[in-house]
Amino acid sequence: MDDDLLIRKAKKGDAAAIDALLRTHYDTVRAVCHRIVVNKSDAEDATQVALISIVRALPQFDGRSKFSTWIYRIATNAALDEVRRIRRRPMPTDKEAVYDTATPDATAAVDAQIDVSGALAQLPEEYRTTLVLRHVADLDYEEIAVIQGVPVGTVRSRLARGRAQLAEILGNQDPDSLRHTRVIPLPERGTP
Amino acid sequence: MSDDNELDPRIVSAMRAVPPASDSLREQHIAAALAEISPVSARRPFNTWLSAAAAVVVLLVGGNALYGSLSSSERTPGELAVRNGVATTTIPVKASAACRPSGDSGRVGNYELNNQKREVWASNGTLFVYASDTCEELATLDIADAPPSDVVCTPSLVDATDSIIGGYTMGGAYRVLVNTSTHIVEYSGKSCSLLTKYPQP
Repeated sequence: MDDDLLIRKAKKGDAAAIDALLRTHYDTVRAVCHRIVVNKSDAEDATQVALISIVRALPQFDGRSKFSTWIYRIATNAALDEVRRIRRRPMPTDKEAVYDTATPDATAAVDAQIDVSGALAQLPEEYRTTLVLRHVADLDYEEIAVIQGVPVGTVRSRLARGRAQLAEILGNQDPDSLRHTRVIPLPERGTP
Repeated sequence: MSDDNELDPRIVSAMRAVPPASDSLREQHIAAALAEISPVSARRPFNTWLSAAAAVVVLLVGGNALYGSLSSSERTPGELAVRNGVATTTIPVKASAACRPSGDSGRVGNYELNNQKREVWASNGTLFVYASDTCEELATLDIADAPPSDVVCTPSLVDATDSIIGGYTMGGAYRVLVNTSTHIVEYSGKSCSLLTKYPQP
């Protein structure tokens, strides 16, 4: 069953359709939350809030944007709300506690080679969010512009600056990891 | 021309490599969200039917999660989500439900060859390659054995047209698929050793 049919049914309150839509988009919603929020337990909270918000807002989905764009906008807002909530909390004295590096899971395995979580955490919020929407949610520039409420040109500049800062941070952390990396062009995407 | 060329694909791969949620966490998240249907349905004429349907779904997913948590063996740290021997993807990307193979499966990633968009799914020891536009099944590939490893390797790309399709875990081994003009190449382990090459369908 394609998304359009599921959406029509979900808007009418079909629980099975809503369940299917949530499952279809679950991994990406969660990934967006994890990469924007960084801290794992807080990211899970943001994921939960995002899913609840999606279900609550489904009857109001008007189809003016792609459904995935609409969902990831909700996920982004939930993640950013969580980031702001975290900022209001008393700050831990140990910076590592923010990155939640204690659990020996696959994230740690990635970070052993490329500390992308730590690097993303050092980026300004708007750069991090833009990079996540582009490279994790796989959205094109226009979709990101809609989500962030900014012109496409701003998306371009945020991506360029975010990528430059990310590469610089990662290069400083592990000179051998990326300095010798040849940049491989990615497949052309639907960019304006 | 896109300026996506500026970001190293290994960084992109690492950004996407968020470990999947455990089955119980996923079911908990979804069940809690589905519970929100009830207040909405209360304002609708068919509220009785909808409430009953939501309750059934919540009970089913909740029961399944409970059964899974009680029956599944303890997961090794670093082992990504595997249920009944079936891997789920470690690189969450936009899912296309229409191309999904039957049964429990996970999307590994997508790539493009000769202007054809393709996506790769893993299920029950088999990789499925679909044409994204039509969901035509282009190939089924037997997944090669590999020593267990939870290291997320990031292989070097030989040609400019090569690309990382995505990563997944099967049989306790994290694997990465790379698209080349002639093959789908699979790597695994700390040194990102070559596991096998599948001819491009």
